[in-house]
Amino acid sequence: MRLLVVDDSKIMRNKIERSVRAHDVDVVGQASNGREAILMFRQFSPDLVTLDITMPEMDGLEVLDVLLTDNPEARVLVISALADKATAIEALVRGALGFLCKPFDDLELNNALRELAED
Amino acid sequence: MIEEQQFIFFIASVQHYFEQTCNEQVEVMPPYILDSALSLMDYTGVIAISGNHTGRVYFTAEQPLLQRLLKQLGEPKVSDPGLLSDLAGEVANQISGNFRSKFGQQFVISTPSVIKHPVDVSYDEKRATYVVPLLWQGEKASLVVDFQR
Repeated sequence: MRLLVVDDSKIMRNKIERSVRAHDVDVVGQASNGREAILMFRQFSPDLVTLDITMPEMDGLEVLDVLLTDNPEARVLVISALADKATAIEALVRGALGFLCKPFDDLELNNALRELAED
Repeated sequence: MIEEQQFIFFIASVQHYFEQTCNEQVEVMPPYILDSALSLMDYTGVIAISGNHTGRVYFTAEQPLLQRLLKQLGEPKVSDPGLLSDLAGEVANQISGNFRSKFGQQFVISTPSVIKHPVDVSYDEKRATYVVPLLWQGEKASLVVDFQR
């Protein structure tokens, strides 16, 4: 599986990349903001995307709308510190296939990605 | 004024961060209400709060704590100032974001800004600013909660 990681924190992008490395997932790109994410999504056509919400300039839910307009079959796991149920529901209603709350551990992330891939 | 139950929730949020990220407990020292200038440590992540509350949340830490945390996260360059800043901001972001499980979607958090050196910040005696001192692997940090409805 080919994964695009989108988060404004380099530490979080690296954490996700390290976490999935042993699970047959190749990270094809790391985007640090929404505009980079859209460009990389169009360039790499990843199988899966992990997408942060709180980012400067363009938040993750706006990015999600663009990705799904480009490819309605896009498989997006929203990963956010925003822990209220309404935000998770909003992400799912807008077309994300999963929502994972930060902080998370490796097992939670890989389980969520596996469910996303099998959905 | 923040209610005591909410304050307990803030402590639980910090504990959750360290347990989930490091699989280790953080020691919470006796919290207190600020009555003089706020002394920030080497790196401070600051989150501005808006919406149904206004104010700020700070996560301030000594550099050695952040270096140990970076190592725990698997980062090889534990003295990289960019990564140290990133981490201070991300801890503040995650703890503040988790507050929405209690305060709801109208508790709006900003992206983090980072203060990279120790500095004293004046305090407003009309507001209650809560400080939760932390000790992790023998190194110091604090969560500072300064917002009101």
